[in-house]
Amino acid sequence: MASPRVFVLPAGDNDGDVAHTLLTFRHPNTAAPTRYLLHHPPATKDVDVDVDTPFLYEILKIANPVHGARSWLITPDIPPLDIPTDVVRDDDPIPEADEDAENPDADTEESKDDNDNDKEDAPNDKTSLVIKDAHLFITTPVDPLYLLLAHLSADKTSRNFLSLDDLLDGHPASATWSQILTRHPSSQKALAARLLLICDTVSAGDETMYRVNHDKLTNLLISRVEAVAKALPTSLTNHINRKLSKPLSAQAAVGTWKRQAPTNPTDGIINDKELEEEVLQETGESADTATGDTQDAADAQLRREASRLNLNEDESTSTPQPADDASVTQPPDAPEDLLPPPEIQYLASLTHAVQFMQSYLSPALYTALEKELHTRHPLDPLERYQEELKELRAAATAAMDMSMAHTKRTIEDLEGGVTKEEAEREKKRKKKEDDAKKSVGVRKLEKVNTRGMAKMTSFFKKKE
Amino acid sequence: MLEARLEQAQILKKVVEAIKDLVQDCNFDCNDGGIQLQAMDNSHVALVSMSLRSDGFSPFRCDRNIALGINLNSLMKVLRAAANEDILTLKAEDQPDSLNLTFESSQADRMSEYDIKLMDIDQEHLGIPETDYAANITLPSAEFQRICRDLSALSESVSIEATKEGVKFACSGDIGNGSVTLRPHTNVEDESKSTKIDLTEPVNLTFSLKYLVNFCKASSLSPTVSLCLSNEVPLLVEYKMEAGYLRFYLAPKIGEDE
Repeated sequence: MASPRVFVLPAGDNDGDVAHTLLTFRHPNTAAPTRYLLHHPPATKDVDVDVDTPFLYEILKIANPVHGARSWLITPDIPPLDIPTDVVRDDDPIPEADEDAENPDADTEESKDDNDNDKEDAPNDKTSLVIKDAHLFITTPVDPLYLLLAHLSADKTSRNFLSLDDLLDGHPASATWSQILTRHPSSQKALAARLLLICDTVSAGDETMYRVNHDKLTNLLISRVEAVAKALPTSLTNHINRKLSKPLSAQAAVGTWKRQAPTNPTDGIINDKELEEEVLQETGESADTATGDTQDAADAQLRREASRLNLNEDESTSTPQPADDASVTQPPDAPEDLLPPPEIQYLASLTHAVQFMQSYLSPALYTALEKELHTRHPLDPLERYQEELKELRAAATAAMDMSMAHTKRTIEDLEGGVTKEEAEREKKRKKKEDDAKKSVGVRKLEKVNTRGMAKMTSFFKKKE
Repeated sequence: MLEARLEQAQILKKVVEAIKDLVQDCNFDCNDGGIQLQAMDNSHVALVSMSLRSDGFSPFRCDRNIALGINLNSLMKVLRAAANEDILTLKAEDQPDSLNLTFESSQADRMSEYDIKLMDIDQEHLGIPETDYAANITLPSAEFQRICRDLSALSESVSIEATKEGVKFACSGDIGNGSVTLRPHTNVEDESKSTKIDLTEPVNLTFSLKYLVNFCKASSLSPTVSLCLSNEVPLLVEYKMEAGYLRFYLAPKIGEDE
């Protein structure tokens, strides 16, 4: 028998009468058989489920980090000792699912999902359990459209109007679909509603016929990408921004000695003008600007950079410019100054967001989507910005080598790159390790001047 | 599997001692004929070739050819644990991960046992043809060692000039120059103290002294050493052992006669 596993299942209704069925579909991207979870009311009940209620869930396996928990300890709700719930060492404890370890191997095993009410029943069960498999299986709603897309956009299907039944009949996994429809009758309505979004329809009698409309499909997908781009998790946006932010040293360098460096006089003029404009803006605006950052040449430099990128220098950008502060030293933890302009951030988020779609679309569809996305949101500004950034970083590194040697460590730590210094040290370490295996004599002999001496291979031929 | 018992641990000790400063890692090729070794130094200008015939061991058993890839520095560390007079036994399986060495003291009832991890060394063997050298010089190995040591204080390289009259080792360096000339002579009491020169034509070649000094670490293996020279080929420095040899080859320095 398979060992139990820990699942986080979709919550049931208040009465908790909900069943789950595991189904197998071809994965839309890889075409590998993949398990999905059907969340449906039990057969005994005939509940009319809202069209918008998700019913199909994908199962995500969360790998435990190398240094994280290696197994699950499942305890009753009221343990004999006051053990905090985070004994499982998970950042996000999942109270209900802990008790609900299921056996996913039985393909159509139905099980009761416990809901919040279960907490009261749990104390009866005093047995604890250690589960060896430390993975966490999370089920998240998935749009059934993704499973249908490949079939819908296939040549044969996309030519004719078909009824929903015919559509599903033609699907390679038609048996699974009919299983869904029998177990969860109202899913048919939901499916139809989803199809409306991407299909042209004709009514034939009381039946509606569907045919995929590629414009609608692309619109839907792109709107999804845009939505994802706007809702990327903070950790990811931070990561993107970090990659795109200007080198801290550039700011510092500009703030200190680079100002004296010969600069393009035109730059200076723009700079001043901009400063004035911004001062005007500042006085015009109220003091509700949240991030009271110090104004210095570095900021102006940033803005100048942005305007050079032909980007709309929107006055609502987050960094206001109080001009009175003449302090040159920057707090090292003020990376907002270095963030790329929001337009660039958005573009970068889009390129990341579209990658998420990759696992839901067939490769052909994905490339089409990517292409379309890039025509709607041209990447040129982002590319130009990255070019600019490269130069800026190179300049900063050069500047640092000359003047900022003492602050090198902190700056590079903040930027999270492998420094030249580190690489060199690594190289030295390796060489040392290598040398440790050599005897003193071998090392000495390596230094001997062998000028004028031919290699042995030029005298003696290799044996076959 | 390999099982080779050596009556005197010092033979292997001296061999490894002599080549460990020339070569870092190398394969000991074991077959029913004995144990051979061929390796070049890191600069590939010198080559060492060693052979210990099976009759030097008692008993010697090697069922199939085995290459024992060993770091010589590690091997030396283990061999230092053996006394010169100890009986040494080498053991390895057919697909060995490690080489087992046991040292038995003949006087005291003492037996020590060591395992050395082996490594895979990708080494190509060079075919060394039998050569008739223009000059074959045999001299006491201690004498050769002394000449090399003395001259290396003055210069990086030495010219070896062999004529009918004798062999002249000459060098010149920043502080001055120097030379040692040996005339052939025969010591009636001790054959090994004689100097012999067999010459078909005169030769004059220049060699790196640092390498020669390195070769001389094998001096304790044999009371005599042979130097074989011919124009345009590597110098052969050979130390003969009871059941085998240790040979060094060194490329001459060309176009640096100043």
